[in-house]
Amino acid sequence: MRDTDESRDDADRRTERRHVRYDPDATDRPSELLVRAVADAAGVDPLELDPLFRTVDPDVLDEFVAAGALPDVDGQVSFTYEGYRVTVHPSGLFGLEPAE
Amino acid sequence: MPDDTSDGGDEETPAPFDADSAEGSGRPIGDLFETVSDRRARYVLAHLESLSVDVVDLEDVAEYVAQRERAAERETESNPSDDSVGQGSGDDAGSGVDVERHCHRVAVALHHNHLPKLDAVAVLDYDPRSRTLRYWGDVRVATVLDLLEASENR
Repeated sequence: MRDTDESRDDADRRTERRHVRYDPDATDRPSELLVRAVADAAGVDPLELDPLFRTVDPDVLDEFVAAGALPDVDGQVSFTYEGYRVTVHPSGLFGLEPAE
Repeated sequence: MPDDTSDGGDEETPAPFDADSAEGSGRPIGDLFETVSDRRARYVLAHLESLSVDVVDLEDVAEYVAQRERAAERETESNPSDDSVGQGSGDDAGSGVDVERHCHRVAVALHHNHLPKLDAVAVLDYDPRSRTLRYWGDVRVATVLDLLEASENR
């Protein structure tokens, strides 16, 4: 990853398309992972983002991902949050790309 | 008007939620219960109930909640089987860095989930820009907290 080059930070990382995968063994919830991923992409602290609840109920999102462990859960949800098009697969895979 | 009240074993009929139209602020008490079923939300409200000021910073609340969580964790750790220890690990709350990180995690969860949710059920006002919240006291909250605490301590 060229993320190591600190000098080419902001503009670059903001336009990048990225994926993060939720680790079911993590202590964080899927929604917390998402918030951190968006904050990371935008180069800000998670507390500077608009509350995720205003876009989607984090508890519902967490349940959606938790249900991915069931064999017959399919489909995906997507929404726009803080300038990013977010796609959530029930498998715990999050896709982020700049909206518009 | 649906008048099919006493249909016997018909589980499909959604029971009219009378509790929802509880007097007062016009917000469904069921929503309040659901929100408060989360432990963090309960800690937040317990803290606000204990304060005499009505405007509080997010950081302040997060610190309190994180502290309660660590205390609860310590309790469950020391409770099972070994009542002979007595003291020994009096303050193993972890390093300052861990505590700080825990606080921040709690703050993030409160900011993105619990506080806007409590705002939505009209228990408090949360301003995410200034990260301050305003609480004006709520009899329903005090009652619900008492009930939950009583059932927890059984």
